[in-house]
Amino acid sequence: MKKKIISLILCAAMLASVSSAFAREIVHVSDWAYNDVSVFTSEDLITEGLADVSDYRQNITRGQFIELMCSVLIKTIQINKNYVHPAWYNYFEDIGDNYYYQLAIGNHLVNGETLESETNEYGVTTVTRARLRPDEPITRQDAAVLALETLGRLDFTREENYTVYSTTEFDADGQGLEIPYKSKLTYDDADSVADYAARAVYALSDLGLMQGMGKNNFEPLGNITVEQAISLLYRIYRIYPHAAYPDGTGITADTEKTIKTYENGYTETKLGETLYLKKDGVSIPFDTDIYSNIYCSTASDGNVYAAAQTYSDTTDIFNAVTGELLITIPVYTYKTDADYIYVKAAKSGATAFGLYDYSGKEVIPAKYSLSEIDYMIKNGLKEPEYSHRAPDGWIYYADWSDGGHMYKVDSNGENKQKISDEDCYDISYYNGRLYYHIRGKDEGCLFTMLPDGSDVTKLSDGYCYGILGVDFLIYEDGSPLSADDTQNKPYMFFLDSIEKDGVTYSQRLLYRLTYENGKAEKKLVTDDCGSLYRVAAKDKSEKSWLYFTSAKTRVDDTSESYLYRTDGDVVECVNDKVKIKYFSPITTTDGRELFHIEGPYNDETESYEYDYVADLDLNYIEEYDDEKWEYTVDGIKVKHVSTLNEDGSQSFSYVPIDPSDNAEFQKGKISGASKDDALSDDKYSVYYDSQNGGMFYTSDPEGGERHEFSLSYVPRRFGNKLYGIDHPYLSGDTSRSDGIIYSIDMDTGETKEICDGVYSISYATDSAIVYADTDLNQCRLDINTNTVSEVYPNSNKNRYGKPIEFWAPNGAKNLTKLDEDGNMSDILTDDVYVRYMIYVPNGSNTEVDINRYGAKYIAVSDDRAYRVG
Amino acid sequence: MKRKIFAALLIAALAAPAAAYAAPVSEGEFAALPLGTSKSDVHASLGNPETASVNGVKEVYRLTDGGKAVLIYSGGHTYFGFIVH
Repeated sequence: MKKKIISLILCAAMLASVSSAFAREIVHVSDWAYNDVSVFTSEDLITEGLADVSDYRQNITRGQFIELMCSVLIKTIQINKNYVHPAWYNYFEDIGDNYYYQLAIGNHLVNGETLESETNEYGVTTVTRARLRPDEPITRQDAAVLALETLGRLDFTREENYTVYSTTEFDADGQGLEIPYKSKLTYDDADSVADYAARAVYALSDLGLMQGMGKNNFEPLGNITVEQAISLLYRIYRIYPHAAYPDGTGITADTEKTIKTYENGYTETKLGETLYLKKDGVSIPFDTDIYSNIYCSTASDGNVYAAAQTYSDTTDIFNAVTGELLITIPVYTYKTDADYIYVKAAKSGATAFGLYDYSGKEVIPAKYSLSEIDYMIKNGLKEPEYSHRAPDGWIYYADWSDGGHMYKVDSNGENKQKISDEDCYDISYYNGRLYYHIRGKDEGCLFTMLPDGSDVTKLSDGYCYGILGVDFLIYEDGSPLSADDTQNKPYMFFLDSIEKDGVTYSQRLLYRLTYENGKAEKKLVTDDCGSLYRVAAKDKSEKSWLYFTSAKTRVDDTSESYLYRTDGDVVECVNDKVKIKYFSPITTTDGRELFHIEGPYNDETESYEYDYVADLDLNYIEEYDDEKWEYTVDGIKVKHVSTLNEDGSQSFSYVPIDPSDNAEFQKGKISGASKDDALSDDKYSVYYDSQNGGMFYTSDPEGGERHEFSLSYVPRRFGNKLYGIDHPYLSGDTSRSDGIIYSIDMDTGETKEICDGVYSISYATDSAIVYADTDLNQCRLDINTNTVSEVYPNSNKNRYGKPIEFWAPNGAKNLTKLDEDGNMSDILTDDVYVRYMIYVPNGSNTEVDINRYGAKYIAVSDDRAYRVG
Repeated sequence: MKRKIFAALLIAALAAPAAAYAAPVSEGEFAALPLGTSKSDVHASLGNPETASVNGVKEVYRLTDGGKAVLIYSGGHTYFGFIVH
């Protein structure tokens, strides 16, 4: 094998870390603490506060402990390292400009000691002067409090810790009671433990992280040394699931003990503080203060390799037979096999995964781009484990914890990249470009850029009403938008505002946007756009038009609201006689769009002189009842109903109100593409009957019997079954406030209770799984088997489709990936404020209803849409 | 860069962990060593270490009082060090 010594890379990386480090001295440590201190130092967790400390056997100060605590939490990305707003610490009189103290206060890791406070007229008390006493030695009980706080930040998802160390327990009557931790302490000097520290002393002792001193005393007011503090915090640090637990952790090996046996017959043993890789009389020693993990594989080239992971985030590759150091790669290794060394860029947090081969070649860098993903797919390169790296798209989001800057992260939470330094919002993705607004200078203006953050182009001069969604896209040849048409070039549209003397007019500029050789080309379609309406054409036999009204308030103080249309090139006035009021949400039986028109306003009658519904050609619709969505066509009174499709979408159809008219209706007397399309789609129809008030279904919409059903929540249909929630309290059962999920078999009429205790429901439409939030849990219902299982408690998630699901509790900073069973798995990113994320099934390529869940931001990619923020 | 062959070192470490050629170093002499010193300068000043890790980034020195001291290298220069009691 050709050996590659990439020492230059290694040296560059190491020199960089040397140059960035603060000045250190050679320090004195106790033998028992040496390994923890050495590794803690190698992990670069030592802070500036210890720069001048040459003897780690001396007591640590409160400030130094806080620094180390912050260092651990920064390294594991459990606190926001920019969260140092002055408002939180300017009342501390003794913290100066120490970054770590400010960070600890800003992240509410410490409260400090209140010296003065004031209470306002509303009874709200505000601390006006406080101190941290950073230069005083920390007591053991205070160290325990801070250690538990650190532990909680690192480990708060472990339910057992909530249970064991929660502050409150509930009695038989459901009354919350404070747990008397002090009485649980078994130390002889338990009475001298401060009340505020009792829970922490109990927890740390119970976890074995702190022990008593001497004869069963905790000595709460005693002090701890620097090396004791480092050892304590390092043991807590290791709890965080970074990379891998160091081999042999917790194993005391006074005599040689086997740690693991590899498939190729090599064994890894531990003796003292050294790991050995052994076979056939050859033994390679790996000191545990240098190496954390060893991986051994017999490669396809016949050689046996050992990858030894260092604490300084590099990996040494050895020939396991000769013990020869072959290469050092500047990344973290987490496994090896016959062909590859599997690496990642960092041991914790969102990171990128990659591959090296045993020649030292970087097969896949521990970072990747969209083009790289394409390359991997097209060239059939072996990818790292699916669970770690899958080229399945990106999430674009504005990071509220970082000034709203735009980031992207792949669906595994890896390779997070900042792509804009602007404070961004309303992010959307169409046809390979991002569209977004910014705050600050150019507030509200529309910008676009490529997904890698390049080619930033400002599109609007004033406040922009956003790139108009898919419903407003039309192709340059005038054909309607088609999901399977990838060749045709779409026209996109956006509205730019007109402001004059501080007044924003309803008169707006409508621009058409196209791209020529990658450059945005915008063309002013009209400078007199009031409201914009949908594209009317429904099939390729018609030309697509974008309908709009002229403005009601114009810069020249005139007022109009007449109907116009454009195909993106020409603008036509449809009618300049009657004013347009608004569009109706429905179409006629033959697919015509409806809108309301209104006549001149009569001041005497305080009403419009006429108010009709017409189609776009101004054919008035007879006897239209816009509340019941009913009208008469050719003597038959029909009503417009929406049909619930299996994918959750709705299609529209019409049924005669008088069943005796059904035969005439079916004869084609009233024909139309919309009706035929709807009825041929499926035999089941589910609709709200506005005339009779209620939900109905029929398994034969062309004349079959219809059945009323009661599900107070909009149901979903999977096959011949309807699923939805019914709330007993709506029927007068005041004894319960929860909902019950029912299924209704539309063929047999059988109604079956699935589960109760439900508050909200969401659906995974392509996997036939329903997720429902209950008061405690989320249950998972498999539609195919009607089996209910419990998934992650209090998940508060919405699942649409598969396979990538996300979870983030309100206000949390972690965005977490869920596995197929809804269990939390990988942390995708840990500093994003997330409220909702929704997966849209592949191929839909459509913007979901932006108001449905009150979400503010949406990110749409070619095959998925995520709702964030 | 000259290839590092650790096989000999490996055998030496296993067969004779307390190599005879490594003379003890006084604590004062060790503590006075400035961090950032190159490995060759360290060896010139303190002599050869008693043991070294397989990748050479750690060297252990025997102190005259019977204790031990550890140097950790980064990029060929001392990065940090410990006097272990």
